[in-house]
Amino acid sequence: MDDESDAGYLAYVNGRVPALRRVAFLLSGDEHQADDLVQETITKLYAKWPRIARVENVDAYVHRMLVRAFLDEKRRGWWRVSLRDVPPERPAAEGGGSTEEKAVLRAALRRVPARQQAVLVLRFLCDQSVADVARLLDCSEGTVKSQTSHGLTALRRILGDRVGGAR
Amino acid sequence: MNNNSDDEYGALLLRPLSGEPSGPPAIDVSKAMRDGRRRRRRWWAGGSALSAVAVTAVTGGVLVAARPNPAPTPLPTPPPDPAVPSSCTAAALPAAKYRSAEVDAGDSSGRWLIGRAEPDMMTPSLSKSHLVWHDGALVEDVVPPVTGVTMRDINASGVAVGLSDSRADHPWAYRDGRFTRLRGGTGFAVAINDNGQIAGQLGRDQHEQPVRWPSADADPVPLAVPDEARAEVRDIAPDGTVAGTVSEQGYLWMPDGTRRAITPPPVDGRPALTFDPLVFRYGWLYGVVSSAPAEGGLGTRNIVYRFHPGTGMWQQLSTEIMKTQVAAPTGQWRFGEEKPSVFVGRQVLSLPAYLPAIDAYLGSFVVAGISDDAHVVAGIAMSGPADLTLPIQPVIWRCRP
Repeated sequence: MDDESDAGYLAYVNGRVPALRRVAFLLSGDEHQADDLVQETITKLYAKWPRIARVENVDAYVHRMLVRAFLDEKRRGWWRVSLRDVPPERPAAEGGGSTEEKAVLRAALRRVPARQQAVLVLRFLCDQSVADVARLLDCSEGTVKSQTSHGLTALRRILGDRVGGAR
Repeated sequence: MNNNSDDEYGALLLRPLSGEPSGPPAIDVSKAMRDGRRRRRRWWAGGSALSAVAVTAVTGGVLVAARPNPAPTPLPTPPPDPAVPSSCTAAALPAAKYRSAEVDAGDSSGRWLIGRAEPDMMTPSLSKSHLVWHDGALVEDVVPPVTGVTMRDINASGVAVGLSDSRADHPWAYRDGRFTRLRGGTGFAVAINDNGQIAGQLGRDQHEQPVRWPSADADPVPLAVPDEARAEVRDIAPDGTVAGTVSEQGYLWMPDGTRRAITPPPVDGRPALTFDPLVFRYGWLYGVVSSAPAEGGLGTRNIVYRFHPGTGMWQQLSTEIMKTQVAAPTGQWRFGEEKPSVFVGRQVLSLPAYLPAIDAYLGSFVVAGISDDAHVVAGIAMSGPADLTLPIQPVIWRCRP
């Protein structure tokens, strides 16, 4: 691989890591997992960089890789749930809710199927449009809307009246 | 609830989770480059990846065409697809004394299924009992001689193949209640056809060599790979053709010893980037074609296609990947879906849910096998969000024409 391409990759990655980490953190709710997801994404990105560097919208491509890494991890993680050491939680620096409220909400979100989790986080925490989420998840806009609705229904069922119940 | 109120409610509900990671990033860009370099396609070093798609493969000094899938004459015809069943019923498979069990593979006849007991229990150091079903009845409950055994595929004679522990432990076969190690050292077996030919990989740590075992007690025969390229095996067809990838590009090792890259079809008039094969079914190779974005578009597109090796014919199946299942022996694309469905030919067979013990809303289904006539489908019902207090249930769907 020539240095110019490596330099291009380094420049790209260094500029994007904070944004990728933020999305990964919002998706996973855990800093360690977020870093793992970003690490996997930028590894794949390097493997494909000579090709991807020619793609016009690299950011969209990379975000799609990140979301897919999250979904892959959820699928694979199914069997690993019981085997993996639970890393110590690091509190987030800032956020809208109290620690307890966030913990309850995050635990509920984790009980929602992975794709619905991704849809909810991307739409409501990452402020992505329905069309953008459809592209990120390789599905139709109708699917994003129905997954949003199902995900919210599931969350409401899990949370009952505890959080966000007053509408 | 309509979409607008969904939007308002969702934004309000999730707002407390907004925030930024607070700790220092534990991301190692140098490591990403080292690891990524290993994964890179060999020929990317030389230049355009797009032109490399039509690379020519060399087999024992013989040039094998990597032309865009030439149609031989006389033109063979793809086999007829099975009819899509009109209705299916779901039932739990018997799991003896076990609270949880999973189906890992089903055969072409729909008569044999193999899986594991209690895959969700926290006992990684113990051997998990393997369960074998014949015509829906539990006929074997066997503990393998080593830990961490998973079977990947089973054939119409009830012979199954798989691996122990990690990718590079050992390939194993199962027959008549006994597990035996396949010859050739470390590695793993991926798939077995109804003639007993087995495909897998031997070696260690991402440097495995693709191999074909003529039978479960035979020595492995290496499948040639271009120098230093990374290869993966995905499935073996009834005639012994092995499908896989070489440097992330779809690849076929033919029964006559020749081999060739699979050139993916153009998508929307533009060259595709890769074809990632998943499974042979109904005489076709199912997989995913990735294509470059359209002018001004976002990212690559991934589309489910099937490829008929005999004619070079391609058929597009779905633009939504990971929605309809394929039960690939590698386990790739085994995803939980609330509304299970599986490809039957070019069509999609929707399967009813089976949920007596699982929260009806949060159930999730994985399809692990489908018979060639599409009359028997098997898989798993589990808690979608991986709630370990809920059991995993082995499920059989019986379908009528």
